[in-house]
Amino acid sequence: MSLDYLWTGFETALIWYNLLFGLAGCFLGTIVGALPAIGPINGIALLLPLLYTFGVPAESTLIMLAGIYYGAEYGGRISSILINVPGDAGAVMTALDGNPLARQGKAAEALAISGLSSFTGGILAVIGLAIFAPLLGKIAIGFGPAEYFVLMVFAFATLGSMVGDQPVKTLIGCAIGLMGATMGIDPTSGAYRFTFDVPELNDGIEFIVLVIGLFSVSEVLTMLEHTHHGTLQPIKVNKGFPSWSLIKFCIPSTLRASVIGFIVGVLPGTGASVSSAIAYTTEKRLLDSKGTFGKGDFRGLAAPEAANNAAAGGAFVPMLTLGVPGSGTTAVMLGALMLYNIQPGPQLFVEHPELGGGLIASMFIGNILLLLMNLPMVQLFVRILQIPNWLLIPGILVLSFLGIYSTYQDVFSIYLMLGIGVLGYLARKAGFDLAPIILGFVLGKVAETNLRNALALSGGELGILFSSTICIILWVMAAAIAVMPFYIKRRQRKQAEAEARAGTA
Amino acid sequence: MSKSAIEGPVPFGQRVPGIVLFVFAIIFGIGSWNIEYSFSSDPLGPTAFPLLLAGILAVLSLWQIAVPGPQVSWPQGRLLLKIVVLLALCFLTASTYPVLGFPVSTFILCVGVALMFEASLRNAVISGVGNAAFWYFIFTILLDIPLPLGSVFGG
Amino acid sequence: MRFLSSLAALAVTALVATGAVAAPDKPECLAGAKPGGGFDLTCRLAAETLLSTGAISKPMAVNYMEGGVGATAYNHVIGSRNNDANLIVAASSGSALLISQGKFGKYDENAVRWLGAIGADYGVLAVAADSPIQDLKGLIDAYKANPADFPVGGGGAVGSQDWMKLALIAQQAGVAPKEMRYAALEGGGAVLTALQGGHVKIASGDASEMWQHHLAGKIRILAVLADERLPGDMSELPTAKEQGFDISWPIWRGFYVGPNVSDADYNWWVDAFKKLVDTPEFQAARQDRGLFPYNKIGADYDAQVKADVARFKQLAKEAGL
Repeated sequence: MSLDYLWTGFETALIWYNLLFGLAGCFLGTIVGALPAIGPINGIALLLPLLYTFGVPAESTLIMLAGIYYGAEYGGRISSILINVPGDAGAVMTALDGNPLARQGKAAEALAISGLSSFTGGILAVIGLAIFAPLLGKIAIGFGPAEYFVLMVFAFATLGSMVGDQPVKTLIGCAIGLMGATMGIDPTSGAYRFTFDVPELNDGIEFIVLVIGLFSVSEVLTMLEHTHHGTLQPIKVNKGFPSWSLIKFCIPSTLRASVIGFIVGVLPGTGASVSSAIAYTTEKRLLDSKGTFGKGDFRGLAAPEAANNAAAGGAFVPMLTLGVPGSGTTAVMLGALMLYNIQPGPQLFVEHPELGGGLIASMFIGNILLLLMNLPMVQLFVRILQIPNWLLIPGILVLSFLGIYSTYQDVFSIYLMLGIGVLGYLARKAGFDLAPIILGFVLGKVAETNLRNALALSGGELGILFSSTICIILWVMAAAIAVMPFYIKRRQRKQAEAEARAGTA
Repeated sequence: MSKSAIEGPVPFGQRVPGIVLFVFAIIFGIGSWNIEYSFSSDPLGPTAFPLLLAGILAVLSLWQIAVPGPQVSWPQGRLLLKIVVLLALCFLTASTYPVLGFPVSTFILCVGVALMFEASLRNAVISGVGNAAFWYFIFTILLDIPLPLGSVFGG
Repeated sequence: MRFLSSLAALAVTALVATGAVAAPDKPECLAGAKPGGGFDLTCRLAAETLLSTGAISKPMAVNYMEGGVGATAYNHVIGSRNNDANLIVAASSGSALLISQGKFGKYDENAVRWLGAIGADYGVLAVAADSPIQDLKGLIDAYKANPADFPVGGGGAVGSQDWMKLALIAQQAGVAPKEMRYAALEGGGAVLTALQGGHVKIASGDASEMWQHHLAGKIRILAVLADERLPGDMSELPTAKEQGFDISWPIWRGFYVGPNVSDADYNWWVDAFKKLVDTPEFQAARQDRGLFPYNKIGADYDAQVKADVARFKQLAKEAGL
């Protein structure tokens, strides 16, 4: 496929009013992304009928929607880092190292580094989308239930990295997360599992309710405890821009995570939360020899941010090549295109080059706009940390309540969130990490459903899990990531011994 | 679960999480066993996975009881009281959304929470008014997401 | 943004003379799912066209209440907004299916007042484009010949609409629905990729979603599960009936109101929808959203919902659920 459509696209996207639409989209997207439980779907659902009613042309609409879409990915990290409340599903892993960094007085660097890695992930994904989309479309088709299950095996293999100094507690956390994911209507048999005849529980625990409960409520209780003991350290706010050596330090992680995020994002059955989880645990597995991940390691911040932005780009691959949405948000965008009587798919680039190219070009430009918008705004964002606690903490609570309430229109979800928050606080007190719970929850549903679908298709034959090339490759990768740290450690030891010998010689 | 964890005698405290988890695993296992379904298209069915998890958690929690790890200090006394009050305030706020409406409920919540974070009464009121007004603006005006105004005010 | 939408509404109402007298003062449509799904589409279709045709003078708010494919909304309306004449709630034949299986909690189909259906989609059965199977008879013969190795897929759990459609086919092939090698995939998109990737041999889905992929040559629709051929381009697709299999599966989209809404208010809505479906604005908007004509409003609709629930109960029994 020639890339002529891209030039047509750039010409379209660079028209002044389209740039304005893009900028407005980026701005709105950043806001909805930063607000917990409110996401790009809300922004798009809000604007779409409006744009349609006013007869805004399709390419301008699409450019604005792409701005919202990417803006939300940038916005989610802000609340994760500053107040330890993830702004959206993809930003959960960002909080693990991002918030400790903010507490150490490195909020500005953390925001800047995560902004840069978001940008890298986003741009690489757009380039990947422009060049490899048709090829990747074929890979996405190759993923059936068996392949998704083995992908989850790979993900669990990277989880070995989470086993810290208290392996039993980590495993317990993971098991609890997996158990939480079984609640609700079983997607395979339709059975009701642990719903207690409460219709609100039919869909199980929503990810965002779990995350806000675990992070924000338990965070507020922990702060209350510190205030009570008078041990609350005021957070220092520096205004520094990250040094070049710090940026260089994060580059390998960012690049690896971008690739992982993009590929996982391409698969319609997995999204931003799975991709950032796999990217984070992979980096931890590969690099965390000193146990700094989770305590404020810049690489642990850069990786999930690069991954979730790359996944956001990857999610467009199935939409543009197959006409099948790669995520909930792209599903809404697909609906938007259909409203304009445009059917996405490979013929999009032939029939409407200004649209297909315009979309890719606007994602490219959108990322640049977002970086330009976000870097100077770091100084503004870090001021949030200077808001006194008596104003900020009620604000965090109100925001958490509102995010949940406006999604479900229902106080039951708030009760559920509060309950989860209390359990999360007690778990923290008892020395459990929250990350394994989240990881178990994210990966559990995908793993169970796909294993059972695979076995349903094969009539119970386990052979289906080894039947395709993709499966075999994933099994090999899973085995490799499981043993890799041991290998790296041995090599490092040998190297150290060799150096020691060389030193004495 | 939360209750027993807090009220457990202190020297015994480290083992309480393990015991609570073990009990939970057993209950979860019984619950899994009793999941009702007519049939499933896969050989495992909806019960196998939860049952497996219940088993894993039971083993892990026994391990945790045997080797409880470092000393844990549970909140006690006035701190415990504060935590309970804060949570009660939260539940109250949520349950009064439909009746008192978002602005009033939020005002009450924010004043209460601000006071617990050692604000002066003046600052607490500022926090209440400020938060209610700010978030109301963001959600209803900027994002067009409706918030309840309260049935007592005819909203 | 609210002022923008009010502005838009103002502009529209200025153009269209407002005639309705007893119109609801705060019209609202509740979608029992996330923005962007089928319920949202149903609500938006009504909200947009009721306003643009002047049936209501104030813009209709569309709100969302996620949970249990409409179960949460159903319980909420019956429990706390049962006499709110401003509120209409989106429903579909999927709601009737869930009600028939007792999945809407303790309430049955008699717990609300069914207002009307204003459009429908139809079930289809499809195979991959390179499949040797050319028609429904060929499909059933192939299934009969090799029932033990015939993976099928749909976008829902055992007992869902997609599963039911395939169960009807399996029964024709002499395969018990229980024995189907059925993968419950996550929505129509996953079904399409599984079909193209060869992970399943037949897929069930909805006409409007599958049609474009049929046109693009990615899949082949073997039969539309409608009584008559669909209008427009889609008239090239044969129905199951004309191939000798009496299987019909309309997926209607409509609304209900709370059980204690007065007759006068209920009738106002019925009249409004009856007028609405005859307007060209509505018909154009319905087509834009991939829905086919299906107008059953008031008593007709109430009877249809109850008939559907009874039919679904019967089907579930036959399928061994």
